Amino acid sequence: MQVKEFKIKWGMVIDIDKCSGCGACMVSCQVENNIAPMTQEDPHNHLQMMTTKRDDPSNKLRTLTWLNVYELNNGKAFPEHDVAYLPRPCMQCGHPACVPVCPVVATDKNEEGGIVSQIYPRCIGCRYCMAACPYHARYFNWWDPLWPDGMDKTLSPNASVRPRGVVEKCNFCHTRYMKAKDRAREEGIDPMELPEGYYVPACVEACPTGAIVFGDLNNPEHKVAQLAKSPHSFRLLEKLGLDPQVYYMSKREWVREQGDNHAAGDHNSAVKQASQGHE
Amino acid sequence: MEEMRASKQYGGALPFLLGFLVVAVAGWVLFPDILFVDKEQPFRFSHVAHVEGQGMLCEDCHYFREDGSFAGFPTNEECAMCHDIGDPQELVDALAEVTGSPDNIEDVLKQEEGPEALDYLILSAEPEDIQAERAFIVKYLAQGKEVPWYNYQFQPDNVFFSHKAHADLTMAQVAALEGGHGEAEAAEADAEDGTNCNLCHLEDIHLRSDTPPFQENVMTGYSKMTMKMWQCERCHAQMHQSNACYVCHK
Repeated sequence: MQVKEFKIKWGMVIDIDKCSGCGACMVSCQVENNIAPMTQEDPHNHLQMMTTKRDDPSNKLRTLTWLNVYELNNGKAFPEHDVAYLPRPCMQCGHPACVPVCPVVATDKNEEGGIVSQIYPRCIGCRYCMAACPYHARYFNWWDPLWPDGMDKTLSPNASVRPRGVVEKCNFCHTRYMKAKDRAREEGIDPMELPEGYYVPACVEACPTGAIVFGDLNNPEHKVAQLAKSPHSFRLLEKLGLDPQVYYMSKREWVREQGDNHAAGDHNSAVKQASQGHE
Repeated sequence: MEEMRASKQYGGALPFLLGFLVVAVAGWVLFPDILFVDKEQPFRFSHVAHVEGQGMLCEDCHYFREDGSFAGFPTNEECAMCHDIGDPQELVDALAEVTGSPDNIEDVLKQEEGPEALDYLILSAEPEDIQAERAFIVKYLAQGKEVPWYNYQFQPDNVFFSHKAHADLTMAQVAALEGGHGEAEAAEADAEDGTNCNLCHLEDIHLRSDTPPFQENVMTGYSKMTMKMWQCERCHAQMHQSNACYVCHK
């Protein structure tokens, strides 16, 4: 399979050593993208007595977290014990596993910038894409979104609200990209050459330690282009050869090793096989 | 044999054609009228009174903001730059004196003029314009409510339309497109002054003194004038622009 090439390739480099696991990125993501809080009671359902209750936020299999922070540890006892936190957005893969399996072309990677699109009204909820994605970056709406009274005022016009029965995922806050292009046009800047920082997703803006850097991986003037080439940077499950546009960095070797969760010893051969398969 | 006789009695080309005709006429002529209901705008707005009467420019109300987004309908604050009612509470009090209660101040609209406090604010000269302006002041400005205009081109929630991206498109370009463009002809008048608003919006709205009803599709709630996805895609293809999902969707 050929990697689709674009002039612009929006990418992220997440410095795991800088991440304190505070979760500000997750919160900002939920607010920016109109992800409803989970509530068990539905005030609009007058047959509540006879119907099943909705899932509450403690059911982590059914909560929607476009960006999820995972906790890693090195598995050693106290003096050597070490933890790390790994925020996981959609990887916007170069050749995504989710796209070819979609029977209705609700998800595609065809726009300049390389962001994998998800069109909710087109999605039929078969969840093949969720099964295909090795990063668990896709989420299914088991319930219609419900905002408690008054909280609906926090809804943002930047994201379309998804109904029950469709799949959704991180899209690098795509409306921010569209707005950045409009601002560039107004200011007489070529929208194909947005300066660094013109367009950043909500998580990048919210991160208090500056652990997430965002920009065009193809533009050598952008910081991400250099950071992605650092000897400390890696991508998740690189051996699968999906060519993610999200990079991670860590100076700790055990973190880098867990990023490519492989059986001991087969790492090099697996990478070799994957890269051969895609040439 | 029974069945064959029955089919001879009722069958044949004529009943079929008649039935076809009835259904075709119903579907072609009657159904579109049932599908759309007319909804009147909150009050009659005259572009003529503002453009010709006051010499205002389109950009005075419909302009690009600094961030490249487009200000479509002007807000009360912008209207109040001319339609200055001073302290809204004073006006409400003055109207309440006439109607008896601040809850039914809109009753003053039943009469064509008065009270003094309201007449004093009217800037229009034509009788129809005066009534519209009275409605605007009493219903919205005095009560601090934004006007809930119907947007003839309202797009679904998952569409991002950029006015800025289309601002430099000229009608000459569109008219010259391979395969033609249905709306181009109607929009030719615009070619002279350089804007291309006619392509999607009500034709020559700046020359109209009324606001036509909003035709709402009873099944979808969308406007009859809302551009369909195939129309967007056709023009993008003709202009050699990308039709990737995320070019228009969010």
